[in-house]
Amino acid sequence: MRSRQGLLTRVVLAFLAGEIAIAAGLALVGTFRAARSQTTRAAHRLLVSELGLTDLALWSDASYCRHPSLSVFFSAHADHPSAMEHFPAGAMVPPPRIEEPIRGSGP
Amino acid sequence: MRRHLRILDHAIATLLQSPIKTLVVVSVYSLLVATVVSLVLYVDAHHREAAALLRSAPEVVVQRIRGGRHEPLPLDRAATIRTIRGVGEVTPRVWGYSYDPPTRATLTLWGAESVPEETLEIRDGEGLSNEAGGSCIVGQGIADVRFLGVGDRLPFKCADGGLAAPSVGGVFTSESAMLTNDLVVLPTALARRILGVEPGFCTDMAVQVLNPNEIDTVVRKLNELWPDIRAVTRRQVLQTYGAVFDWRGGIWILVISGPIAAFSILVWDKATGLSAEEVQAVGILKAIGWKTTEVMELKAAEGAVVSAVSLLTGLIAAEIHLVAFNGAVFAPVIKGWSVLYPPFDVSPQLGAYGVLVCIPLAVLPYVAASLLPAWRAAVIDPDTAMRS
Repeated sequence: MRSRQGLLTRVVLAFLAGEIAIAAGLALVGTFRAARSQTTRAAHRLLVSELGLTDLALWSDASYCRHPSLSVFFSAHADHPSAMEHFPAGAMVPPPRIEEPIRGSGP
Repeated sequence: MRRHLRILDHAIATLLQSPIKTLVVVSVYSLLVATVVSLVLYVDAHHREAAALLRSAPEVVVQRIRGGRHEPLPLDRAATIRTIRGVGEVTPRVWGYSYDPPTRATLTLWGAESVPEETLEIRDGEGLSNEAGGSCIVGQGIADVRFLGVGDRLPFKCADGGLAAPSVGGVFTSESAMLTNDLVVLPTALARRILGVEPGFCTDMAVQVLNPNEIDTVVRKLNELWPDIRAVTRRQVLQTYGAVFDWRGGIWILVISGPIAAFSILVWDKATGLSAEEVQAVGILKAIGWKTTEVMELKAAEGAVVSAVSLLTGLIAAEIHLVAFNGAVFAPVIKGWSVLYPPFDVSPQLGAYGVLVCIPLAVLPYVAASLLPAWRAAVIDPDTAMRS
């Protein structure tokens, strides 16, 4: 019985070691892919700085979805007073963060 | 050491005495770890991608707001802004939107005199030019939905009612789609005509601040100069995207809070008491000479084995989901959707952050839940335990 139990422990420990090896291998693949994307990222940064882009071209349904960082907080309601939000992408954009305002910052 | 190994032997044998129960716990536990780790790493990868790309965005963008709406900004303000100490270049920008009825997509029109060659997929076009009706550079998304190639014309209705049909002088690379998918870069004069931005005005201005520590001071001075302006700093741009992806990740957390609650109930059930058989087993171990600390070590070993197997299996499942399937389960909510949607993949990386996030979640509660009832059973008299 004891030798069977010893075998079980060895099997479990070997299984855990195998899992650690697979997890580390997959983590390396992820790191390698991230490193590979660094080369194209340099060109993209150049594009951002030359054109002065401020937003990602992810959600183009409405101006406040396409350029959330440049939109005023109430852009979604600019179409008419108390307008309901009607773009699915807009529904995923959070309300503004309440943070300490920069002294004298505008509207 | 040998004693500890024997206790570990016994713990594994105990777990295998009820294989179905152990398998169910390990499976649910692994699934939970895989879900949480996938989500954390996927959202983190989007944060990193947005931060890496927008790190070179303008330090400050100055807009003019009237009645809650953007108004064109007078160009003569650029000269005044340049006089503020610490300000470098001030670049007036002309840009806006144009609805494209055939595709029902909203395009972003951007005025510029040149674009970096490295970001163009097709370079054999004439690039940006004002000659012969003008030419433009379009994003891959527009080129795909409108079947555009170099030399084809892309018509726009101008603000004055006229028609502008610049030819395509180049197409952005598909790798840059996250930035350029819906972008049409036009010569500034043509962009003015289409968008109706009068001479002497611009949409907004990009302000370079030479010392990043002075950005807030420059913003304060800008607000003191003109009450109708709004200054958006690069920090705010990055915070916006941080908040957007956190918000989207939060929606998933809401969805998976059900399974987390179910698993918490399982752990709580385990913590609140052992079954009669388990109490009897502890009593027998005590009767044959096991000390309380050894019983506790046995239960801790059981919990540790289950936690370690679940943690590693969950990590592997999460990495396979992210690396092989590009986070397909979470993508629709985290990445969002729109008519013109860029094909892009982020590169999630499992590092110390991911592991440190899931260890408190996966290992500690389960081991603690195994120890508490074992301690209660181990401190009672063996005779009472066996009779219970």
